[in-house]
Amino acid sequence: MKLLLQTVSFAGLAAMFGAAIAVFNGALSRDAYYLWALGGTAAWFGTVPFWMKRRLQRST
Amino acid sequence: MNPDPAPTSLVQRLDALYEYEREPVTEGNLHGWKIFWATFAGEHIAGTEFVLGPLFVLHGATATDVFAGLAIGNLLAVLSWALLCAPVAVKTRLTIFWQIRQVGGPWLTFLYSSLFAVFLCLLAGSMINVSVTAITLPFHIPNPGPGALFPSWSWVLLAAGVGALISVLAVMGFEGMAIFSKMCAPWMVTIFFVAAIATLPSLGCRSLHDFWRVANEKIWTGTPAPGFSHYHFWHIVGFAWLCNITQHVGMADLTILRYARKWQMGFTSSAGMYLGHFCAWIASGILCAAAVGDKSPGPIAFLGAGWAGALCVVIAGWNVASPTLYRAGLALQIVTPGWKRWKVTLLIGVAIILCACIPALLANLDRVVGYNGLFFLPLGAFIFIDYWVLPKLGLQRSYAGRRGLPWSWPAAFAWGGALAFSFFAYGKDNYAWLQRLVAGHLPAWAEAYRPDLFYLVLPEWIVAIALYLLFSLLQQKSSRA
Repeated sequence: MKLLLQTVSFAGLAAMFGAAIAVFNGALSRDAYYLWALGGTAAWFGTVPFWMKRRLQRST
Repeated sequence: MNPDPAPTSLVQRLDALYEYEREPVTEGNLHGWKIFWATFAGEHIAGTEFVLGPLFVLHGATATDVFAGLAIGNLLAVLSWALLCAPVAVKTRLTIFWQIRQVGGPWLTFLYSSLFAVFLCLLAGSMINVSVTAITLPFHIPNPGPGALFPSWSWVLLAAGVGALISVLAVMGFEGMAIFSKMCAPWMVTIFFVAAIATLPSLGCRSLHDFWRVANEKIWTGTPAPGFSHYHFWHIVGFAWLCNITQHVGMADLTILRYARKWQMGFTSSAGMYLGHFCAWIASGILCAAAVGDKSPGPIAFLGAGWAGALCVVIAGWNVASPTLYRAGLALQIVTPGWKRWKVTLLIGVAIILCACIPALLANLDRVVGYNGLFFLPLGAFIFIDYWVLPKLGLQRSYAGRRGLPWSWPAAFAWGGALAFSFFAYGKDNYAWLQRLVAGHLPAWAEAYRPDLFYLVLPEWIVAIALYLLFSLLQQKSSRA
């Protein structure tokens, strides 16, 4: 389960990268890229609280 | 009978506040490489990056100045962490508070804490300002320009709302905010990168081969914006080094690095420097160059990544403002006897809302950070010399601490002397009243020495250690006589 959640999280970030590169190459419009960025953000924040460690380093 | 009476004097309150940090970190609590890579990477990709990167564009640096200057300046910062701060941290395993307490005595520690709280209020205020520049977007409220004296009332209301919310969060759930901040770090790095990549075509960059031409012609053109001074290579080197100088040369990160197994872990600071203070500054510079009209953090991030970019600015500002407010509260708690923690934090909340409403703070954030760095740098120099050099000269380490002195006059006068040196060296060419005062009275070499604020790191460090060594020698020799 954890692996699946991590996969979704990083797939969200990868999708954002992919969309930005597509804009750079002229293969995607800016408006569509903005939606991809929002979708990637939703994927990240929708999954990361369930797998990232919630323990803080004591010094900070 | 109460066996543990409440502390009454200022010094007792100060000690009680940091009581749990008095002992050196034990072997079982040390951490490995991974946590330091993550800590540094997360800490140095934040709201300030949306402000500092664009300032190099507005100050007219060239592409070579920025790329080479940041590479070298950040290398100096990493070396300072690894060679100055980390070795002392792993040898002593004490916080900056207890190091200053030992070297400077309780009164200097009190002064350090109080002044640091003032700087933290300015920093937290500027981060609320950063967040609000994005929150204004859906409401179509204009952000104040860099030359504006005061924002509109609607903008002030938003800032007050955000400041109040952050203050309440800091009071109620600081740990929750810190965990949230940790979760945001990889996403924020991604936003910086993708925003820059997606924005380059609007500047005419369609392939990697175009990048350097576009960087020189459209982004870092070498021409400053109206009202901004001209930055060159050494400004960039100096600023990149000075930016976090309180943490490395100033030794504030002893508090973090005391948990490191080896001093070499100081090199993990390179994650923060080269991801945050190299890549993120360059990315935000690209966004600034592409923006037409409002070049505030919110609008430029929106241009780069849409609402995800705007959200990144809000979170980046909050992530810095919340712990900063918490730390400022901790520092000020000692001067407000009997006050509840929440009352101190909310008082600081009001102070940072007022700071957030000063547009000049963002426009001059590099200078504010620079003044802060130069102000606290000498104390780190004293800790370094106290640990490594004094024993080699036959002098005692931590003299004030061992003797129970309320303050160390060598540290106090060397701190004042080093600050006076920097103030005079910079001020004689930049403050009109000082210019008039010294006109015609300076020797030729002093007239010819015209350092910018960002060039003063090394000279001030040398003056600080020279004075501290001299005064320590006088103090300890006279006490033996």
